[in-house]
Amino acid sequence: MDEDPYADFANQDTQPLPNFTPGPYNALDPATGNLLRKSLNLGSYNYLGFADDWNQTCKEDVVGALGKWGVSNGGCRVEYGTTDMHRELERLVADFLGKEDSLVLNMGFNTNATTIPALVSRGDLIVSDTLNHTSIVNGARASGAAIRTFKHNNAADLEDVLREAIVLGQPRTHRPWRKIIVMVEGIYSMEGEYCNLRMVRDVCKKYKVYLYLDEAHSIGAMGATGRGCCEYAGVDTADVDVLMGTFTKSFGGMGGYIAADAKTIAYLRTKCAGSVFHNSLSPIVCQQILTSFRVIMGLDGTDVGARKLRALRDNSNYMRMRLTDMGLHVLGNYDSPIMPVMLYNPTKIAAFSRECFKRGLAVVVVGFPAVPILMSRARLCISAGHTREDLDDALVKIEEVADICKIRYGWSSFG
Amino acid sequence: MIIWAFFGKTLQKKQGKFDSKLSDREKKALIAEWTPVSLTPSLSASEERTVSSGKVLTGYTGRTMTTSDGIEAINCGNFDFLGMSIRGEVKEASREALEIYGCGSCGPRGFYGTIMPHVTLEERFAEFMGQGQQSIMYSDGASTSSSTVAAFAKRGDLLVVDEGCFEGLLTGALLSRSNVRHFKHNDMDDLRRVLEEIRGEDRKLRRDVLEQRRFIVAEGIYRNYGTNALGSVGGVTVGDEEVTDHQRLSGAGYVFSASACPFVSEAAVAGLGIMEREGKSMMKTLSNNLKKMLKEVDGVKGLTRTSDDRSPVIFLVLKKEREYEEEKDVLKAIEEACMEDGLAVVATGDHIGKHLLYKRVRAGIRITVNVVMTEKDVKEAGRVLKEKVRMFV
Repeated sequence: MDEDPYADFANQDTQPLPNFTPGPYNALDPATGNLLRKSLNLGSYNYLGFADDWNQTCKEDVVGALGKWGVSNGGCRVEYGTTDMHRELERLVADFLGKEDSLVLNMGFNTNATTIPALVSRGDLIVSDTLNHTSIVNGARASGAAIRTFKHNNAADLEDVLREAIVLGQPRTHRPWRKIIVMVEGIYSMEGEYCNLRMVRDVCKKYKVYLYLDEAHSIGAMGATGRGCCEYAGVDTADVDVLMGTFTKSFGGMGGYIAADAKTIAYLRTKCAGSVFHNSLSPIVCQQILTSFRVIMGLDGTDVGARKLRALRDNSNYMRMRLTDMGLHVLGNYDSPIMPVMLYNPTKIAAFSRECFKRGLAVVVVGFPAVPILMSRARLCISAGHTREDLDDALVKIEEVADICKIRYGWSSFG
Repeated sequence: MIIWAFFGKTLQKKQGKFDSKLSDREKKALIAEWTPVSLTPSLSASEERTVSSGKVLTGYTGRTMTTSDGIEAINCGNFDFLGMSIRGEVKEASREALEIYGCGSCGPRGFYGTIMPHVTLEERFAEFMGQGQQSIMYSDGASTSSSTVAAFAKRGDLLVVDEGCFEGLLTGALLSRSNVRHFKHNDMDDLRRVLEEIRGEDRKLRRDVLEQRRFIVAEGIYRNYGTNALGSVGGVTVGDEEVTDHQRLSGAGYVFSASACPFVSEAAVAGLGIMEREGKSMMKTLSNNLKKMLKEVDGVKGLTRTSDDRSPVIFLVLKKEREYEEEKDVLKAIEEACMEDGLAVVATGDHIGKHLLYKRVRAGIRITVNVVMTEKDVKEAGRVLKEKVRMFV
């Protein structure tokens, strides 16, 4: 009887991988300490590789913080949940981004989902990119404001939408909108593309509308010094009214921030549900973010941060170039660490994932409903922690899988 | 038929899309004229004070908290009921987990963000809650409730929600796009009234009860009237397998958001361990402390307690009702004066009473009881509160 080659992997899509750590390899079975299975991690948002060299860069500070603080102090930001570490982090974020002040919350998703309802309400209009993340969509829906969308990353369409909105005013009554806010992301996580920020900024300025930029994936990963999409696109952060980002990705922590002028932040402190109701960020995680920020900014006196940024960019561009050469359809732009590889056919999703996993590559595959059904894709996330050997090894394996799955669409329409 | 066509046509005309036959010049003028309001309205003087006088902690022992002004205050302010977060075992478990897994998880649960401690916590919590149950964890307590409600209720469903529910549940109800009815907080007669109304409508519309999925949404302890007992951050929902598996695909906070830091889950597992071992004695201490505190609090002239005798979250309002604005300013002043005298309580005025979703919540003083406070602390809390209330009421 033939052995089912996929027997080991049959449940892989639904079963969690308990032995997985966010470093470049998943390593130990925590129960026995044995090496279970080693895979190259091409799935985590570990852009700057703080999960890899955590022991050298962050461990001392973070474990040290446990001496003084508990894991949580059981309060929200306005009710005794603010420690001096939260304030220090907020000042650091504000300085890093060139804004007056910032607000740090416990969860990236909730940063969008609770801030947007505090900023806008009935009588306001949100103009949102069609491919914005669920957290923005949730926040926008909960706010009660009207919502329009514009074509993904298309500044000309944004302009059309804005013109019509301003001319026609609110539906039925045609009263003018109280305010209009445009929502875009720095890097779109399913596309690997970065925002056309200069053009969007110009349009926003022309029509006097506010601009909200979600840098969940781009902060720390884009720009010469990691200051995100604004730095990369050469846009002054003063032109972006609200900057939002998360600490989950590049900083190896958790939570999110909002950076804006002092008046807006003061308002959000008293009004945004994330600050008023939800638990504050754990002081231990605060320390993790503070430490990784210092490394990125070079305040630790080393060039580790600068090297990480350079490595991330080099690795991303190398990988993107090689994958494209291989005849794969790779979405997104150079310099972006996210590279979706198109599979198109939904039946190839499981095959690609399992063949990769069999060869020791952990990749994320994305199908409906996250993307349209015929736009199924695999997504590779590159990290500064990957070495050139890791990537070369991965490329050989991906090439094998590409042949098996027939996805070299760059060479032939039949793959 | 002809009549129908005629009316149909005129109706169509009436409802037709607004056609702005505006010239380009007129459009230009309209665009040039339009000026938006500022991004955020200005804060009132008292809100300004809330922000600027915001207390920043420089130390925390569970029993007390130290502020940046150098005041060490008795902790009646946060929800660390069991004093878990400062327990040695919890810290030790966190430290060990940090050494194995590092800090962040670097991805959502479905994208390789599931790490052993998450699985352990879910299993342990399910065990803790009883047989046949499974649990699912979210990285933030609030998104637990908002995602859960929205994962189950959909457009066309009916939710009957307690007005006093926590913001997360109300947001979830809003996001689910279900029809939402509210009943007065904890008022079973009002709930009955709402349910009977619905039944009346059913009869009127000849709608079968089974045609629409219906949920009642309520809370264990009402935060704004009176759970983070494990000394960690995050939230868990419990249900049978079908219920949890559904959320793994449909709970927005679960699918689209990065998972909790592994060490946080490990801390919660340690917290659960402590609860299993010492739960009974802890609950006894808590209820003893609560009794003592209630004795003190009920002796305060000028305030009335609205919370239940069994709730470790004590909620006090002014005995003589005043204008909302005045009430909240008085209570805020009491809170600040208490803090200066070494007692941390929360005045739920500006930040909660006026929040978007709350319309009719009265401002009050919230005192939480925990297991680590001593008899002396309770006495001192009572003394300070009495004195300050006398000053301002």
